[in-house]
Amino acid sequence: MSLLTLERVSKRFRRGRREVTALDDVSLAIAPGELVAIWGMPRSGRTTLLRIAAGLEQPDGGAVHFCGEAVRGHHEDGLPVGIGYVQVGLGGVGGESIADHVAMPLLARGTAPEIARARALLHLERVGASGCAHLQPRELEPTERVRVAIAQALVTGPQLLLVDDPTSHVDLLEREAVLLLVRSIADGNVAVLMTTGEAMGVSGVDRALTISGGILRAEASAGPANVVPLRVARGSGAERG
Amino acid sequence: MRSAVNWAVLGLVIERPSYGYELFQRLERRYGGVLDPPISQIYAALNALERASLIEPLLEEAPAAADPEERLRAPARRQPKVHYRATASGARAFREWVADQMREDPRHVEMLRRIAGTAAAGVDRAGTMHALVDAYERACVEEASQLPLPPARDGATPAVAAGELVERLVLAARRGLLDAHFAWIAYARKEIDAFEQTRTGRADEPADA
Repeated sequence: MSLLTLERVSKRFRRGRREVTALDDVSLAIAPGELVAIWGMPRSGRTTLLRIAAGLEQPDGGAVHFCGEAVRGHHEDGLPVGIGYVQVGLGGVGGESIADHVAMPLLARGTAPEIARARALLHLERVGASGCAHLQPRELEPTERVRVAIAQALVTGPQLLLVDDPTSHVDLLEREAVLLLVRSIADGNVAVLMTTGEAMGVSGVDRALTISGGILRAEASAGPANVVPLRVARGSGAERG
Repeated sequence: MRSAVNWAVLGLVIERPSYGYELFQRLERRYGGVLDPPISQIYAALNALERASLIEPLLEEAPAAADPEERLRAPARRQPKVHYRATASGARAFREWVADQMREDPRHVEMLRRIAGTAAAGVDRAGTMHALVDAYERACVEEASQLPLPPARDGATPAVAAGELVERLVLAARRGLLDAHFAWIAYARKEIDAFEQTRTGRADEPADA
């Protein structure tokens, strides 16, 4: 059974007197543990898709289901249980350490502070950011910001992680490591739906789609990505098994 | 014109009229990490493009681009920002440059040939051209998803062996080409829509958000 399904989802936004279509009849299903990347330019509808999947926006038409339950707008209550949303722009407020920030979703759910903190430290270690635990948000490098945001989204033990363009502000040489981290999370049986604006973002994923003008377009299921030689024949799909 | 930044700025201005700081932000969003010019270089690019008559200033605020709410909030006495739009020769130069960039790729050349053939004759030309672009996009996304992610660099010893360095560079070159193709696909869809609207005399709202 699919973990997340979007069925014929559409979304329009008003901008002054104009109306713009952000999503147009989008259908998509994500299986447990699957890593799916959606390539799109800014303003292609890619972020709206993630926000609707997370219940942060209500679609105008269509339906979203997570674990068989309808996902509704959750502005007040936070995300549906089982979904983590990676927001890289972690609030830049000072005063609290990164460990406290990562523990916040647990504290909001009533977890005891010492347990929440211990889990936060564990997840910071998992994403390779344990050195950031005592820093403040404004002290983070861009790549650490992404890792910390992932730790914060993972801390509640979600089955699905929604990741919005994790590499765009990361140093070129660090991007692969961020994507490998995302891959390792999916390998740990947490499904990941990620948007990206670069070809690198769809490397090694289980399934890649493109979005433009709010419409999902091309789709490719990755074959044996890790054993594909560097030289790939052009022009014909026949060589790919 | 050799500067990649100049071409990138021209491409953004063709998409919609824009001013210096906005272009700086749009360029960062679109090409961050690949092109990261300081804002002074954006203004230098605008000057160079204007000198070459590839863009021209719009004396009034660009009504199509400005958000009406944003305009209401802006104090009326503020110095108007100079928006630039592409000239016809700017749009032509950009198309030629893009075609030049693609000359290396036989698959792409073949698709352009078919698009040219479709544009000249036939029924439902836009539909056929879009189908060609869609098929090309599928091939690109398939290729991109099959590229391997190289093993992570060891943080303590960032140096890589010579063989691995070459492998990384080859991979980066292929990804860079795919990035260019993806950008081209987005551009091509808009061009085909514009072509079809000119032909049918329709002026539908663009649906991008």
